[in-house]
Parts: sequence; structure tokens; C-alpha cells
Amino acid sequence: MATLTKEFTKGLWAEIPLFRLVLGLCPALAVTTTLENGLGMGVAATFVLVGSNLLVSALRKIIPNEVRVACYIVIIATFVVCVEMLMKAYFFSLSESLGIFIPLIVVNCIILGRAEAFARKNGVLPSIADGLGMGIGFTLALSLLGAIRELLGSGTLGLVFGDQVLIGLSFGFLQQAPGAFIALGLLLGIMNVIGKGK
Amino acid sequence: MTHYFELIIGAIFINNILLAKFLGNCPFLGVSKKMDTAIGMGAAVVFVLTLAGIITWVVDRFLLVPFKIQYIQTLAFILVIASLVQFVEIFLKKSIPALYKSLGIFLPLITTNCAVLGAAIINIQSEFDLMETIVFSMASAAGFALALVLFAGLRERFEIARIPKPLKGTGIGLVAAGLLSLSFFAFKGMI
Amino acid sequence: MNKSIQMILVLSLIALISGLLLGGLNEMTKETIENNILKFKKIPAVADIYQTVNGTSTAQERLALEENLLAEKRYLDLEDGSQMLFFVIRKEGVPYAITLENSGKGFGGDLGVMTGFELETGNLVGIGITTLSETPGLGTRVKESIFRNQFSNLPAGQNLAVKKDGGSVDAITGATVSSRAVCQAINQSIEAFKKHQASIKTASGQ
Repeated sequence: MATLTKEFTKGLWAEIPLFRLVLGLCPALAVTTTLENGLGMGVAATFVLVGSNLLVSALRKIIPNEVRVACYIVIIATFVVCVEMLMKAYFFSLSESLGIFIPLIVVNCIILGRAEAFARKNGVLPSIADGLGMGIGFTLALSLLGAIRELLGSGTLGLVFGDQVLIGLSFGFLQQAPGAFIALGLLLGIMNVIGKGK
Repeated sequence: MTHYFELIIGAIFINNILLAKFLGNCPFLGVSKKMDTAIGMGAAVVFVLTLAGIITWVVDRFLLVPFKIQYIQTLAFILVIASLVQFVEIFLKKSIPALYKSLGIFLPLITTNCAVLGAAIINIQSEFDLMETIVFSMASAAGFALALVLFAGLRERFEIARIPKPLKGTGIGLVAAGLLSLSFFAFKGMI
Repeated sequence: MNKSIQMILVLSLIALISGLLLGGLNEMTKETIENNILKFKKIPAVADIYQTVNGTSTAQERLALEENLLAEKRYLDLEDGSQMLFFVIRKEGVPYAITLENSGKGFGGDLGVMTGFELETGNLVGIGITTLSETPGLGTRVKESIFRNQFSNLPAGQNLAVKKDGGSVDAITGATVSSRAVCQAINQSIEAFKKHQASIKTASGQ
């Protein structure tokens, strides 16, 4: 049980995707215009990550080494298409906001990375824990970035407070392309400072 | 003719696939440390992206649509791209081993380059015909290569500049990318 | 030999399961997704045109309007076997106009436009935007009423073009491609309406 918890929590801080594990950047910059989008993308990616880690780990003894990457890709892509369909059916406006980045989850380096680095060498339960931890960590990171960009960019925090404008100032550029890069860069710097301090 | 010109200008400057559309970031920050690797990666991406754009377009037009299975587009496209990269690897290894060696690990990495899959999906969403697909794919890849090379130039400067420790490496890289993206904003009202 | 067979078997098995899973999921969600597209993309555009014809309404009235418009969905069977979707807009309870959707080649992708035509005369009564992936702040401004209002009360049957191309439509500065795409889409709808005007009139009679 202790090892399971360890696998789970490492994704939440020490090896948090995006800030420590510099992977999964593409969606991070594009969809984090609002807290809601960041959260939505994180949850979708977590679903795929846990599913893929589970299957890759369960099948690790029978997947021949030569074709393993091809198999991983089929498994991951299948989960991604599932997420695509389910979102279009039950979360339509979110799927419109996330747009092309939902199918792009399939090339999210985090998912293929964890399958290659962890799931194929470990049992099913630890793999699920790893997937969950990394996924939730990724979701937290995306939500944080999304919340900051939304709050400072347009003053609202749609998911929690609706259309109410909370802060008078608005650095509009934060919600555009350059702002995304800069916000993440500065956030990374801050995380590094906090990390060193520990 | 002007239509293609607009497509090209749009893809390279106004809606630069990396600086405006955010596709292709992972290799962007990993590969751009040195100029030669940046140029090598850029050239490889131009080649793969264009080919992938054409093949996925054909697959969509002649396989997915007639059989009404467009919903597996993501799965089909990524398989095409992965196989394409595999073939290119094998082909280069046999016929131009020098090039294969210099590209090294970057070639298989192109499979997970969001720009390749992203551009392929955009081709279909925009309902381009084959010629437009070719032009748009090449132009998008050229835009990616341009951003990559510009960025590598910047980063080579950073190596010798004084940067606060927490921001070193990826942090300052992202901020610089943001400023680069901002400068491309100037192209917005061009056409 | 054994290895190769194992590779092929495993790959095929995974592919088969994947195919079955996705095929099944597709069957389950197909209709819901189609309805979502209607509700979230097409109907708001139709409602925009309705408001251009009948005047704007409050937020609540608009919600009720969008509900009612779902019932005004009609299909016209075409000679080539396909179906043309259109919506009926009523004025004082009587069918007054219909809307057709077509798309033009926009900057970031398809630009979908819903065009409203007066049943009797074929005059344009307004437009609504259904899908767009244009440059934010520039091409996306085709959604604004300032741009869209140029398309209300235009004479029937005349193709449209932006001023740059010799026409009368005021394009959005810095978004010529997007503005052109809107004209392309409208022109396609004009052609479609001209071609099927008679059958559309009969079909909207109910």
C-alpha cells in the first residue's frame, strides 16, 4: 500500500507534469485560456492516461517488444477517440472550446512517456496509481495556469463565479499566444524557487 | 494563384503553427538549443509533415469518408504518421546514412510532434483539395522551421547571458518564445 | 517464426477490440452528437436571423425561441439522393423566410454561414455564423452585427463580393479572407435557393 501511495503522490509534486516533467506543453499553452478549459483538458487526458497505463501494464507480458510502440499507439488512440465521442455527446461546448487538442491528446508526450517508462515494467495497480497521480498533477497544473490566465486576463473565473468580473485590471494579452508562453515561463520560474526552498 | 499566396503567408506568418497555434512545442523547447540541430529538425519536419499531410488526406478522402468511419480519424492518422516516420527512418538508414546519423533521435520524435498530426487534421477540417493540402502542409512546416531556427539563434545567446537561476533553461525559453510570438503579431493585419 | 506470428496476432487482436469498441461507441453517441450540433451551432445562427427579421428579444425569450426553432427543421429530398436541411422562420405565425447553410474557405478552416431568404421574393433577410476558426479579434469579427447587418434586405439572386473584388460588401479590415469566405458561403446558398425555391416553398407550407 505504501508503494502505491508513493507512485500516486509523485505525480502531484516531485514529478508533476508540466512543471517538473516538461512534457505535454502543446495543450497546456493552447487551452488554458480559462480555468474550465484547463480542467476539462486535464480530466480528459487523465482518463486516457489511466486507461492506457492500465491496458499497457495488463498486456505487458504478451506484447512483443518489436511492435510495442505500435501497440501503445493503437491503445492510446482508441482511448482518445472514446474521449472525443463522449465529449461531443455529453460536453459539447467544452469539446468545441478544446477543439483540435482533444485528438491531439494522442501525441501528448506524457501518455506515451508513462507507458514506455513505467506501465510496461510494472504491475497493473502501481500503473493505475502512476497514471492517476500524473494525470491529476497535470490537471492541477493546467487548472492553475488556466485560472491565472483567466483571472488576470479577463478578470473572470467562469467555472466558479460565472460572468462576474472579479478583478478590474485585465492583461488581455495573457489570453493570447504570447501571454501563454510568458505566463508558463514565469510560473516555471516561481515553481523552481519554491522547489529549491523546500 | 493569389489564393495559394494567401495560404502560404497565412501559414508561415499570421497563423504560425507554433507561435500562434501552439502545435509542436515539445520538440521546440527540446531541440532548439543549437542552430544545426534546429535546422536539421526543421528540414525533417518539412519533409515528414508534407508527406503525412498528403497521405492522411488520401486516406480520409478514399477510405474514411466512403466507409463513413470518419470518427476514427485520430486513430487512422496517427497510425499513418507513425508508419511514415518508420519508413523514412529505414529508407534514410539505407540510402543516406549520413543524414540519418545527424538527425539521430529527432526522427522518431517527429511522430509525437503535435504539429504533424495537427496540420493533418486542419487540412481535413478546412476542406482543402489535394493541391491546397500540399501547399498548406509545406507552408506550415516552413513556419515551424522558421520559428525553430529563430529560437535557436536566441537560445545560443542565452547560454552566455546572465539569467536568474530559477528561470534558466526552460523558463527563460518560454518567455523568449512568448516575445517571439508577440513579434509575429505584427503580421496579423497583413492581408 | 513463432515471434512473427505472435506479433501479428497481438496487433490484430488489439486492433479488433479497438475497432469493436469504437464502432459500438459511435452507434451509441451518433444521434446525441448530431443533436448537439443542431442545438449549439445551427440553431443559434437561425435564431440570429430570426431576430434580424422579428426584432431582438430578452435572454429568456431567446432560450424559448431556440427551443421552438428545433421544431421548424425541414428536410428537402434532392435528386442526387441527399437531403437539404433548412429552417422555417415565421413572422406573425406564418412562414416568412427559410435559412440555408453553406460554407466558404476561411482562414483557419471552414466558415459556415446560415443565410435567410424571404420565401416569396428570395431577398436576403440576414445571416448567422455557424462555424468558424478564424484569427481571433480579426476574422472572428464576422460574427458581429455590424458586419452581419449588411446582409439584411438585399435583393434576390445577386451574387455578393467584397469591395476589393468589385462588389459592395464591406470587408473587415485585415480579414479579407474571412470576409470573402462569408460571401462565398452566401453565394452558394443563393444558388441553392434559386434552384429549389419552388420545392422549398411547398415544404415550408406546414
